[in-house]
Amino acid sequence: MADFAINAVGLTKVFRDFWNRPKARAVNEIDFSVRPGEVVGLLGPNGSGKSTTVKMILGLLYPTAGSLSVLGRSPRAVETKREIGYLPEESYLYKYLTAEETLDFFGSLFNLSPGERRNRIDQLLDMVGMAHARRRRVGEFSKGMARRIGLAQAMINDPSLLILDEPTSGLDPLGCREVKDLITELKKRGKTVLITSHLLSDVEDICDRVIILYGGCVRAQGSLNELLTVSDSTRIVTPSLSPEVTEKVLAILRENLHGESFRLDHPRRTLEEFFLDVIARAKQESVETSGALGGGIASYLRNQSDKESAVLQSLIAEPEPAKPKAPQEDAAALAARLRREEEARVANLTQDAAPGQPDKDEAARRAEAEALKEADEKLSDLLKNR
Amino acid sequence: MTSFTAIVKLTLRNALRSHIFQLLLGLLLLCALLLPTTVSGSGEGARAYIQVALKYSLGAVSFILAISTVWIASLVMTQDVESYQLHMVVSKPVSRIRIFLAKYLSVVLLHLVLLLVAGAAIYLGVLWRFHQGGFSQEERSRIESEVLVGRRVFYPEPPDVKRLAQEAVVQQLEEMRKSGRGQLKGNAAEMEAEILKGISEDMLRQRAEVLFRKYGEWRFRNLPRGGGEPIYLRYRLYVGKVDTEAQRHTVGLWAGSLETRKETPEGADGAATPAAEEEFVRNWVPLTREPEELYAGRFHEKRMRPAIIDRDGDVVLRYINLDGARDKVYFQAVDGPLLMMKVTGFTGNFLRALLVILLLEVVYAGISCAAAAALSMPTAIFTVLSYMFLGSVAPLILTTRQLADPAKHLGYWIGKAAMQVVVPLQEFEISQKIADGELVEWSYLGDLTFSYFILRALPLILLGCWLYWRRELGLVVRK
Repeated sequence: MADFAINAVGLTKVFRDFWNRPKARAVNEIDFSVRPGEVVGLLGPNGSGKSTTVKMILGLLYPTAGSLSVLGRSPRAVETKREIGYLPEESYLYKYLTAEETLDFFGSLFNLSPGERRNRIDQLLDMVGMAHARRRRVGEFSKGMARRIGLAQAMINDPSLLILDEPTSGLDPLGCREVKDLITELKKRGKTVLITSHLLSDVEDICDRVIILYGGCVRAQGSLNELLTVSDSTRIVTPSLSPEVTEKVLAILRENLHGESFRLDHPRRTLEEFFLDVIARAKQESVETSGALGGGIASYLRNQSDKESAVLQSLIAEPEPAKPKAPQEDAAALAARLRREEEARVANLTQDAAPGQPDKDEAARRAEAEALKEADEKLSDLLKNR
Repeated sequence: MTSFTAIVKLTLRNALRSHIFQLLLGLLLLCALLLPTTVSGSGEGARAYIQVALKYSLGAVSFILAISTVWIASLVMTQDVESYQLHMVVSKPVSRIRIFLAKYLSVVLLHLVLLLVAGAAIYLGVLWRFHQGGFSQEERSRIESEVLVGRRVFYPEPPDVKRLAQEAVVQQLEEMRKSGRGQLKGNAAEMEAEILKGISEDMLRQRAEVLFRKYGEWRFRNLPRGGGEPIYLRYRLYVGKVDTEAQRHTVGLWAGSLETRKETPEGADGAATPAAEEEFVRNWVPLTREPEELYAGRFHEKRMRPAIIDRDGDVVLRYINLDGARDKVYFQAVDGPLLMMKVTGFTGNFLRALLVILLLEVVYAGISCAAAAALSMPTAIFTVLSYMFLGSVAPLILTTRQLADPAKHLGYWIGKAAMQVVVPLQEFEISQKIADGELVEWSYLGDLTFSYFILRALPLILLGCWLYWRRELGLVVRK
């Protein structure tokens, strides 16, 4: 297996006019590599050279200078394409074919046997939630439905390198989640995925590394941790704190930060998480829908070791003895216990005053009390706005 | 299903959906089924009726299929390039050469089916008209032997004009010396060439002319003996001048040289002399009892017995001009006289004709695919149609003789250069052959295949293949 799934050195693409005069330098001596098993995001504004780079990887454009290898071979080699799955930005499907016929056609381009094709088509249509529309023509589909079929055709050959251009474009949040889960699953299987997208939240959720292009050049590349970590601030997440404990925390921060600004608020879920929660609850309540209903990931795409171990576990595991139930606490006792625990935690964080230290002046004690009162008021405001 | 078969199937499906294809299919069926009904006739017209029905419908079908091939081939090659659907295909492990060949094959297959459908309609239509046309027995017999048949054509042996002209030149120069006119003035070699050319042209002209009460003679060689099939003499003559409009009736007599065995002399005792070598004598026999009146400017056919072929497979014929107005009679080389002998029936000959049309489709499908591999659809269609047009007119440019005019001189050389690369549509014209009951020879098919497919079309197809292979599909602007 090649060291890199994709390796570009000094990659350049200059578009020329009819008279062979240079017209635009779309990609300008970029160096990047994608290792096997990575999920890499290729980002950049419009005109930055993302699509040009992807087209060169697929052999649709030829580099003007530099070298580019895909899976250790030239991008134009036919054998290279056997391991690649490609989802373009827009679905360039044959509108007069049905969903089933589309997948059958693309499956036959890999010389898959008829039985294997049928098997994979069934699984893929279930996976992308299009089984109910298998006999409908692609031309009748909405954009999102066509994207799902596009994704299915990209997976028909179980590729080791998947190139997805705006994979979640046109998909509802459920569909986006399914795509992300799929990519995560593929990553577990050691597949390599290259994603280009304008939806940075999606990229952030699933990519290991990102490459940011601008003006045909690589402006930044690296892992998300490296690039996004703000090292000069700290975030602590705790369960909900009582006002007293909160006050104590504020005091500690004020004392130690010496006038620097800080913020204390409640963390937010992402809208996606909330949405998925709502839908999951609706599903449990068996609410009907006529839209796409995604199924599980196709079995031929799933991690084999996970499947095997799950099967083994089910065969050999003995039923665990039932755990004794904890005695029921009433609400008041519960609140008191929690408060005690919080106080103990805060106490651990604070320093005890040294023995024999003289008391502070009366004025200083009054100033402190006023500051506390002010902080209390602010906290009350915050709690009211929740 | 392999990737090749899948692409063929998809391309066929795409082509069938095209409105242009559906229109052309309708036109094709119209020509095959309805065009012959516009023709009517009986008697001499009965034969002509069948001939015209065959000629027009087959000719129209051939032309429509040629145009359809150009259009559909350009469509299937360019449509998925410009809609980016091909991006999805080339990102799969399928070589571009394979895609090109699959699309080429699918265009040929589609037009093969169309050809078979149209051909079957014409064939059945002609046979139906033959059987239901209410023709007399004589007319039916004539149509069966002269139209609904495949007859091999034998052309007369051309005279060795060059040798004869050179002999004439030598003789003329000898006479000049004897008469004391001395040597030729100026450049002797050039003048000798001029004289040779003039004498050659005179000889050819004289061969084509038959003066009043004179005869023209034609020798045919290598005819098959012992077949038992009758031989047909086909000819067209002009009286007065070579113009199909201003013709009239004329009178003439055809005679053939018949070889008969010489009678062996008897011995003194009345018995035949032993081991005498057979000797044959040649007698001129008129083909009709009386001189016949015939209308000049039209084709005529005359049936002859196979006995007219001599031992060497030769037939010698003479036409004696007995025109009432004492005018000359002219025979153009392309109009005969020529001899025809049955080789195959109508079905066999008709199938051969369909093969010629299929070859035309294969040639133009390949050239159109090659053009569309690198060009947009309208540009590719325009380029190929221009190529077809140039192929049609190039032979006409070559007939220009007034080379003194620089423009025509240039035109001549352009025509000559074009003839080396173009495929003239008229070379594939076989509807007249079929209508005349002329055999479509395998050698003719082979010649077309070699001259026009292998030498002319194939290099263009390979060029198109190469262009398709190296084309940067990412540069195409999506439509």
